[in-house]
Amino acid sequence: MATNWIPPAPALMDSSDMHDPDGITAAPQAQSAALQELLRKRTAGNASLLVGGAIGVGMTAEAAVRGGADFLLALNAGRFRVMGAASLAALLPLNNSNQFTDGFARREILDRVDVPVLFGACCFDPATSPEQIVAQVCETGYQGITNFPSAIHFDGQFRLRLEEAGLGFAREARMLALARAAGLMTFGYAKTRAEIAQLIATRVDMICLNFGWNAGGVQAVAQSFTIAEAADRARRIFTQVRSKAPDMLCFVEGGPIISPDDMFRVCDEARADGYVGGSTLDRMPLEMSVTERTSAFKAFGLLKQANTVQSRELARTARIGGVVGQSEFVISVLEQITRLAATRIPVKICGEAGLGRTTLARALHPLSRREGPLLTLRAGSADAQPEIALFGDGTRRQGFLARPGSTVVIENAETLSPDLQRRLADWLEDDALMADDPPRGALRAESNARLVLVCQIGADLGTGLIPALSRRFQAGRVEIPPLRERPEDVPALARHRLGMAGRGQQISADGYRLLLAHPWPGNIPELRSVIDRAALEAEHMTIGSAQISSAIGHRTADMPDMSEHSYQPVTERDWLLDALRKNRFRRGDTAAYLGISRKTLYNKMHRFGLLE
Amino acid sequence: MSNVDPKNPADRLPDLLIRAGRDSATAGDDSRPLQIFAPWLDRLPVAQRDLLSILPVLDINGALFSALSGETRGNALPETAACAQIAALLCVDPFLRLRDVTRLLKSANITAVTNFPTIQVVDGTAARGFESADLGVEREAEILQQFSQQGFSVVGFATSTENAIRLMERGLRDLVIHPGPPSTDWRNRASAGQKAAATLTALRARTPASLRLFCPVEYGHELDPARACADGLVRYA
Repeated sequence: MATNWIPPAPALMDSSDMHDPDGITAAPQAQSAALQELLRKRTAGNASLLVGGAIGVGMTAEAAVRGGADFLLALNAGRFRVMGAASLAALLPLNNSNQFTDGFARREILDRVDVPVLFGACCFDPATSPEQIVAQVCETGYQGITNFPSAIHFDGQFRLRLEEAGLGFAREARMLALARAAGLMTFGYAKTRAEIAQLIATRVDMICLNFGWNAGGVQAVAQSFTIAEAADRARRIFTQVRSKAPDMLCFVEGGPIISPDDMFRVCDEARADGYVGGSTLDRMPLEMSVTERTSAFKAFGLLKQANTVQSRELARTARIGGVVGQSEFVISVLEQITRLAATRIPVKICGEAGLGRTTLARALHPLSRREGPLLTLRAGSADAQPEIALFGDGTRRQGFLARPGSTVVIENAETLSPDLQRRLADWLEDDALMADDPPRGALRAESNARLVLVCQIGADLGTGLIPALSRRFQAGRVEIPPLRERPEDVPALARHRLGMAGRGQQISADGYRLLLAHPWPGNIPELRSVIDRAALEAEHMTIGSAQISSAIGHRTADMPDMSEHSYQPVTERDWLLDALRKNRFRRGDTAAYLGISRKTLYNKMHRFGLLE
Repeated sequence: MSNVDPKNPADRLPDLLIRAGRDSATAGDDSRPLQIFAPWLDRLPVAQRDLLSILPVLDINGALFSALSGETRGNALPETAACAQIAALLCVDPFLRLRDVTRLLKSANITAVTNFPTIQVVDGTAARGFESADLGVEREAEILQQFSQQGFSVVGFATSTENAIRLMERGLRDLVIHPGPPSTDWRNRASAGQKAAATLTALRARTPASLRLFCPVEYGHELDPARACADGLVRYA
């Protein structure tokens, strides 16, 4: 229970100290064990800086101590921050600051941490004298005291009125002097040279140069200093302090210092003994982590790892087909491909560009364990002669479809001429008849070529494929939905892309949220491009929303037309090269990845000039 | 521009009194002056109340709500509930919940609010800090506007022409010019008086709003020029 802050007359102070108007003649007391410990930590050879946590709630206090905080300041500002207000609320008439601070510090902090706890004392109230404050702080069991909230946070006419009324900084300095005489650790906040001089005269144990309320985070306050200015100011002031009080520990706090890097820069340049963090230790980390964690939970349904138990067959199909994702669409496609691989049913893979249709089509060949070649025809290209390629030229040159054990993949099948489509339909009908009733002496139908078409979605609805040909693919129709219809696959694809880079980078929950919100008109190639760019821009191991947003913006501005007509289909060379890159050019792994022998891989590499 | 002539006694507005209690003597009297109800006032030393009322030594709004809750529970004299009064609110209280406050005020028959104490007495870089943390004059203006939209009359304290304009932009038409916490040095008080007079003159030229002057006890003749420019006064009872 909080006290009323009107204790009996203090017996701890010498009467001459109590009535000393300046409070600077307080006889130095033997240093407390807690202070000696802090001084020991700053002895030569100990490189680490002292860190004080200016906090207002038990959970933050314990966490700060676990993180290595050397002491804690129980401040009303810390409490207001965790209540959702700005630190500046500490200066408002929202309560009696001393009662308020003592209330939470007693219940939540004192005796619960093994570092010194200093009480943030407010000297504005003329009804409570500095003597009474110090006596109460001693009686309660705090190891030290600091002047917070303080007159240093005011300036201009209001500050002048405070000083005129005797409720300003001089009163705070006097309280600190009394506290020191009473054996408390004293931590003096100051902003100006005049205030520093008063604290030096008071001989406080620790001095803290405050640069104002913190920048950064959601409730950032306008700043008076840059980091460079803060460092320079601290250097000059601490030089002055050390010339007069060599044993005084010097700290910096607030303003532009919002990261360990900022702290190091200022402390290093100013040769400070340490740093006191308030908003930087609670508000900013809390804002960030709570937002991220909530976002992660919110997105859990989409971010979940592959918790669907996939059969080994599906996993193999996914690996060889280059399929990444856990959506029901992806599972359905994998199941279809796996089932189709065990047959010789002609297959038609439909979808937008950039969904890995050709890779999947090619994967049917190793998945089917066919012994012939994998042959790819890119229809629609200027130099293509598809009919000759497929059926031969009537001379000794065999067409693809006559190659035993082969798999023939036709890209852009909807661009084939109607005549050729009819011929293909006839060929498929003959093939089916032969399978049902093989002629004597002919090769078994299983040895016939397998036909796989890759085409635009809707190619059989009016334009593109003729009905006679479409009908032949009814059983083997595989449709790959665009990425925008299965955003749940986006995180897995993004992770996969990062995994290939091998740098161990991760994407923040906020970053995933942006990825999930983007429509991905360019499908997987666009996603890869965004991830690659964001990974390059990220300075740390975590790719945040800023990098993702920038990469998406950049990509959107420069994105080429990803329509089917402009999109260059993947060639066999590209497919091979992609597989080699994915497996870091280890031929054994690449061959296994593609489901072909090392010798076949070697031959293909040789053919496509990939051996150099 | 206002047609009101502050020098004409007929045009003078009645003084507004700031009281710690609600004046039961005037209850039921329609001619009674409006009063600002500031129940925390008697907890502060008279000489420092203009400073302390904006410092973290007490809960301004808590004291008001507690006093009003006491009344609505029937702890106060019945006739006080009929007093026409203005509630003195710390409008920059980050934990102020309009719905709760309006309900409480209405249940206590209070139909007007004002931003007293005002954060505007804090100046310099501290004022800029409050403003950037949304705890400054803009927040006061916003809260007063919300009360106005809820059907309350609003009286706005302003320490400068600029701040008064910000309040007027939110629809306030009943202003009180605050000269700032009084200094012990008469020269500072004289300077504050001149500034208040200049503010009243500047506002008079551009608004028909009623313009009162807040006269803390410690101010004397330093405020005479400003008094002459004002439509009425606000003072501690």
